[in-house]
Amino acid sequence: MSSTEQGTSSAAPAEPTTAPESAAAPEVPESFYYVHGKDKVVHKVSAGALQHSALIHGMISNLGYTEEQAKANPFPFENIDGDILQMVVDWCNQHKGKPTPPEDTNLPKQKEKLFDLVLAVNYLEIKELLTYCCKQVAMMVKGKSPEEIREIWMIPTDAEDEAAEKEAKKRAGKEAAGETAAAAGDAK
Amino acid sequence: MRLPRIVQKEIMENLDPFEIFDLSECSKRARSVARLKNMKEFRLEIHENSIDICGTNLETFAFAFDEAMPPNLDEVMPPLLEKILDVFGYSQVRDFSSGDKSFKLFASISEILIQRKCKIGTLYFTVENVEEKQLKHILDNLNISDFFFLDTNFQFSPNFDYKPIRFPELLCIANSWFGLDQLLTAVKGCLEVEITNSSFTIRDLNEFLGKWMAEEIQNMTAFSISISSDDFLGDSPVLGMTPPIMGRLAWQRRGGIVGACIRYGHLIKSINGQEAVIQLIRDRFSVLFG
Repeated sequence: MSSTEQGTSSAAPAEPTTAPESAAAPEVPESFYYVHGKDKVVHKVSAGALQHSALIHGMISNLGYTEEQAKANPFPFENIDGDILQMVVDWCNQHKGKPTPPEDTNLPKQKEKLFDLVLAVNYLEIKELLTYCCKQVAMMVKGKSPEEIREIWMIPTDAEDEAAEKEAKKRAGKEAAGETAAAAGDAK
Repeated sequence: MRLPRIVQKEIMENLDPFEIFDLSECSKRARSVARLKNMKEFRLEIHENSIDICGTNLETFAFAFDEAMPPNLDEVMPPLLEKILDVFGYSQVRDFSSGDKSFKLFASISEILIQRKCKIGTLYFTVENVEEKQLKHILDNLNISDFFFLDTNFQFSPNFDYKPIRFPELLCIANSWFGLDQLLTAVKGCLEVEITNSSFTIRDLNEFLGKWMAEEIQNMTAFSISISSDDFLGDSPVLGMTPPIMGRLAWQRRGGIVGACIRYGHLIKSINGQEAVIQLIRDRFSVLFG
């Protein structure tokens, strides 16, 4: 895997935007872990920031990695786009050790990005951020008519759903037939 | 919205009942998503020209019709109710008020509630024009749990032989049709019975109290009965006492969600020593059983 160590912003790749070490740093040095998304860009994130993610927190809590081991074994999240993972990492860093505010206005306004973020956040089990995202998704349809809701949330009509279902069945049938033919060929 | 179910549910929790209903109109699949909304905090009420979803913070989401230009409610309300029951998954209606205009609408809505085995907290029946046979069928089958108010000037025929067999806790009847037979049935299920505008006679009253004193009314559940009747005016004796009948006792009782009290009551006892206090002042008789 080719990886580039990056901070929370791809525009500033040199150092991660984690809390700077200083004279007032805690006695026990903070540990860091590494994550990457579909784009393989590695993000260095403190264990404190990662606590927001129940999934990652569960993964790292019993690992006891050294800094080198952690660097050598970044957590791969191949199902998450790089820019989305970046947003998640930024959010975790911004809210590290802080109580989460009742609202978050920094979520993406673009619906596709917001839906991708929702999926990522749900997968990573970041409860507070998921709550904000769901509120934001709901806000998109406040005061809208059924037709507008359909458009905003890209809801297929019943006819479109039925056509898609038929297509899926057809495809599944073809695949099953192909597998049967292959199995028959193998048997010969 | 191709999102995991758990996420869809969280999004639904951020939508109000109007938005949930609008979403359900988008497609069948959207309706299944809309159904994820938890409606525990919202109560359903059915009124003469609106179906209301009431939240805990005194907020009401009224699916109402324009009073200035109302559509034919007999045609539009029943399907709307079915949709609302489907989308929000209600099996309970807090209040169902018939209004006084359309028996047809009352009957259509009642049939839906019967078919779906919905429980009704309070039924207010005030329709002035009644199909007796159909009303009997409805009242025999509607599941009313708390209160049943029947207040109509409709003159029921002698053939209207409805007797309450499914009992709410409080039964209030304002109609002359409700007689001794009905009372003897109602006291075996209701906790409190209030009858006004009745055709009860002093003779009925003596017969009822006589049966109670002889302990001939088995499995009685009612602890409070009050009856108003013009026939009580006058000086015909009740249990040998000439009205007004009053005493010095003050009793009160609570049961379920109802309560009743009598001040200046007169004590009577059954053959085995069961106690009750009665009071008859002008046209109003009350009894509270111990």
